[in-house]
Amino acid sequence: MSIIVENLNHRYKAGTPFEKQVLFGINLAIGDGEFVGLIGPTQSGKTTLAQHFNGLFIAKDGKVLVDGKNLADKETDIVAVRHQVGYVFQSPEHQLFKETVGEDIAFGPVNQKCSKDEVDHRVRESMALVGLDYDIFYKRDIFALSGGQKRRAAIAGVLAGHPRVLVLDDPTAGLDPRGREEILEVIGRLHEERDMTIVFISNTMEDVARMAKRIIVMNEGTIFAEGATREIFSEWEKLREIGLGVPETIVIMQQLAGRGMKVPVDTLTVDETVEAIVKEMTGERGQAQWS
Amino acid sequence: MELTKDITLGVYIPRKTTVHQADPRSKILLTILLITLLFFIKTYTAYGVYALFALFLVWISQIPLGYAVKGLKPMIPVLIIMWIFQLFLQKPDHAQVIFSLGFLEATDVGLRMGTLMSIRVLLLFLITTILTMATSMVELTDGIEALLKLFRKIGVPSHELAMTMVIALRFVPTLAEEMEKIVKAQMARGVDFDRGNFIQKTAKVFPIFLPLFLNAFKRAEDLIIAMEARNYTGGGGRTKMRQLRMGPADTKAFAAVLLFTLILVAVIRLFPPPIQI
Repeated sequence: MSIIVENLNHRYKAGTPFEKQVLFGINLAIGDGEFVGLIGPTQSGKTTLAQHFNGLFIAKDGKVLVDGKNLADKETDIVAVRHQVGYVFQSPEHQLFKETVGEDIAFGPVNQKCSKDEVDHRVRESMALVGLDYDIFYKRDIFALSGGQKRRAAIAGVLAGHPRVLVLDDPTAGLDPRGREEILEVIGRLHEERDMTIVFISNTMEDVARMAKRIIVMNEGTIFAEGATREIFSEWEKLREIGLGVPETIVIMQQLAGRGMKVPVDTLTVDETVEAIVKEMTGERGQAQWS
Repeated sequence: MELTKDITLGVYIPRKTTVHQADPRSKILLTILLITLLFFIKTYTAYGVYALFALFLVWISQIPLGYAVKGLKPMIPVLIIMWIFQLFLQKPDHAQVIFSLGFLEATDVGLRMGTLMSIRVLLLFLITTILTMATSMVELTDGIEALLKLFRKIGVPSHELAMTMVIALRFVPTLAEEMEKIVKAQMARGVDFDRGNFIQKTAKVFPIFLPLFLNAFKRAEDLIIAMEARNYTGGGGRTKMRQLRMGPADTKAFAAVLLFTLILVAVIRLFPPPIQI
């Protein structure tokens, strides 16, 4: 399922004295089964752009096509589009609005008018996908969940709608290392095993470097750069200029290279980095012992 | 999907006009005076004069009229219902029936009272909107607190009242933003707020309020802790960083409103209402 954006402009608070244009002539295409990272400094328009993908914002100036259908068309069933393009919001506490985990995850399928059995099936399935035990968590109060569990419950709630595209808005923000690991693992699995198209918005460059195949960089409401993950991060000076960080792996390699070590400066994962350093130091292909 | 842009309550539009620069105390007092005047008006002519003055205030305070009026939209159904009630239920002895629908009789007095009342509510709204759009929240509270101090001798907790008010107003946009998030989260999972009849639409509103209230309580708790962490203990012994001072802008404001009052009184005297209401 593809997403195509043509010449999209967006004005926030249009028609008020506080009107402000936040998107300027955005053009992009996300193909079926892609894993795209969307990065950019705060206020660069990432979230506003992403909320156009499932019709939370309807383009007034420009076009957004999902699966070839223009979301602004009257004939387009926008509710169906929202089921197909799942959206995991920035802070999960805003997305969970039922009292128990089970009820919340069932919200999407119930809205799709699924049968009782189908709803139950989907709840079990999505809880399994995100690694929440059905028997333990089904009746658990939402407020009794940890941050990482809340986020997984939120993702499960979206998955229960059986989307084909998943948009995740900074899903690892504010999580402890384990929670972050768990979420990334879930997202990776959805992409690998379920062939889901993933749009991954993040402020953590290490996560983007590790997960995304292609990256779109936004700055001040425009697309600043676009390309394969390795290419984007190899231009780290440009990213620094607009206030973005660079993955730690690249920082380490930059410093090693600066001290005369012959290592590649565009490694994206810890494993890859370790391997390259070991190889350079031992003169042969070493195998990373820890991962 | 943007809810916050439709809320004009408590929105401040920063400009550098005489209206903005006037002391909040004078602005509040003059607004009260202007509202009081509204209740003595019984003719369309006088309302016309009043409306002209209100528009003049909008103009000199550089508030976009369309934006100021926008907040009225949700009130329109209420106004219409009120107007219909007045039209059919005002039946003093001297009233003349204009037309009747079954047992309902519309009278000339009802028509007049309904229309005057609607105009009154609209102007009341416009005048208060000018006050809130041209006065920052901090100034407004300072002004109210200063005015309430006059009643402290009879036990009015002026600072506490003002603080409560500022917090309430401060959180209107925040709650609206929060509501927008909840609405979006529900839309993203297949709730269509535009579809369905009136009852179905209303039923969809309830699931928004539960999380909204829960979040509001959590927010209140955070706020209490934040205030206590900064040793807030209420009004006693607190001094102000900004002292309120009257200036030339206030002289102008009082002069303008006084002049308008005189003109209005003259108009009310010269053009009495054609029928007794």
